[in-house]
Amino acid sequence: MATQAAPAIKPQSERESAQSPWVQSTRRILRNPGGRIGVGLLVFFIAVAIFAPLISPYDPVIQHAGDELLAPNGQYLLGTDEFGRDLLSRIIWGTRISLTVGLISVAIGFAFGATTGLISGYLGGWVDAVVNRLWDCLLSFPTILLGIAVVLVTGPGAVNAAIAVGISNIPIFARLARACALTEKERDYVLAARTLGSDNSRIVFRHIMPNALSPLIVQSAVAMAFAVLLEASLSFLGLGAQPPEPSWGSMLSYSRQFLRVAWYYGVFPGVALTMLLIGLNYFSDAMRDALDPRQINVGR
Amino acid sequence: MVSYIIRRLLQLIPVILLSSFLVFMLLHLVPGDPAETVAGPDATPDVIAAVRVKMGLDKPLLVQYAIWLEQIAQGDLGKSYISKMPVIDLVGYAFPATMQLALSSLLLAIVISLPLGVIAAIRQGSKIDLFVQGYTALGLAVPNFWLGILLILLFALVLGMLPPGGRIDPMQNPGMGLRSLILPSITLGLHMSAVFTRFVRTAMLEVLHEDYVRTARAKGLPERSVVVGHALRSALVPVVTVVGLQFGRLLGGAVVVESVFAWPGVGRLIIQAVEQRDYTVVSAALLWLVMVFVLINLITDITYAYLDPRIRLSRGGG
Repeated sequence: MATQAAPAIKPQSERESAQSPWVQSTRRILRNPGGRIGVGLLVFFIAVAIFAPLISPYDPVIQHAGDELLAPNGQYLLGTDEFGRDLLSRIIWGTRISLTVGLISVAIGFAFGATTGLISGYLGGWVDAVVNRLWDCLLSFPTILLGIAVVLVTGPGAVNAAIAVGISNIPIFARLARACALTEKERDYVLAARTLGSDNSRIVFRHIMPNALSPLIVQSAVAMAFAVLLEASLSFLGLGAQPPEPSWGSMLSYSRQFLRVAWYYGVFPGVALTMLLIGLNYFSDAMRDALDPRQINVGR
Repeated sequence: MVSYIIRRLLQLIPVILLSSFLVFMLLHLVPGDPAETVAGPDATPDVIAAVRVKMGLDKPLLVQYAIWLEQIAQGDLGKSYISKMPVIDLVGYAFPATMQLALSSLLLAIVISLPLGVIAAIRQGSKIDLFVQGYTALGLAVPNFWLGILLILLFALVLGMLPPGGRIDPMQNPGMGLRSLILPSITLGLHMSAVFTRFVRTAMLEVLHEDYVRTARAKGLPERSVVVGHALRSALVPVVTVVGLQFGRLLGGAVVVESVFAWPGVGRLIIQAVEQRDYTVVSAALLWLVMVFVLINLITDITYAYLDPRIRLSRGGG
């Protein structure tokens, strides 16, 4: 029996080991039902963002005089806003702002957070103490307040909102990277690298960093959902993308004055935002299961 | 326990100093010269210079910070540029409204999540479990300001059952006070109820497979007392931490929800002050919320240490 079963298993394991870790984790994400929902929604929104000029029926900032606050109809599928702008086109173009701000802010959080976290965790001593206290302090600000504070200094706007969200992401990445550096620096391969004469920066970035990548990548997906939500919240408060830029958060903010006559104005941008967030949440959960099974999923 | 509390209090000092310094720097980094604002639009350079000396803006930055800190320690948060009211009065008026909203949302979230999480865990894989998981997935994704808009649309504009916004003091009119509280509390509490439900479910699932739960069953205890008396009791220990951490986040969420419902709390105070570029109010209200946040984290840590001796006995803990 055992000799019969062995050949059936062997090709499978050969195939797995021949694949790069990226292909393996993508397979594992897609094997998970939630992961499929997440990837599907994400691919959809990314496609919408890329092909926005091709698929949007109108220019998102063109005002159609006489067509203000029209309910959904054959000409304007999701209706128009108070300036007669097509809501569908604005929602389509709003995808670009959400995803771009999300990407920029995750990149900022990852770059600064991972670098400082790895270095401070590896070096230890006073550098670690000072850097760690600074991040503790940033974490003691509720993130939306940190965002508001940063936008106050830089002025409102989509790019500044991205910077604000990015800064609030730094401490989370830094803590994660530091924790990895703390465990990894005790390992034999680091000792070996040091014995061979590698300097600190080579040890941190060539040897330790690859081993810290999995949790950092999982955190990037979580941070992306968080960033999209925070950008929408800042825009809703009037601190993110400025008119006439079509941001979902600011559309919802302006819709409040017209809810009595135009329910669709307050509903559709929120549907888009919620779908994107559902996609990102499912994706990050599946990614955590695929890449980092040790972490328990605690609510955000 | 006492030494743990003292250690945690000592750890607070650098956090408070640094965060207050960040808020102080915020005042200096914002565009515009406060001396010009206070002196008025027609002031001559001499007058502005005099105001600057009077406000202490000519002193070195660290000296200014020390003076500012001393004033705050004495309860003097400065005056609003716009309304000329003492900021401590503005924050003092707004804070009870924020706490009322935050506490009622917290209560709502706990009342929803405990039964949902426990039932989903007991009937793992059943239809109820699937429903609960759908609820949490949706609750985690729906942005609170959009939920607020939907609730206003349905319950205030279409059905006309509840007021669309504003706060009525429950001390003066309990009935109306409660009605004005319902929609904002649901809006703020739903996300948290999803977080808690997920957490209670996971914690219960872990505990239900423990030996002592099997022992309790084997002793012939009724299922209800196995679940509530044995499993839930220990599952609640990690839940306490999450409640504490989430309560801090609730204060951040309140900033947005208060804007949706014109709820006169600290969050709305901050947003209005941002719009009017009233920076003394912004910084004082920010500092206030951060301090509350830090305090809640402290209470959470201490409660957790009380419930779990491993934490308070570990060196460096927290």
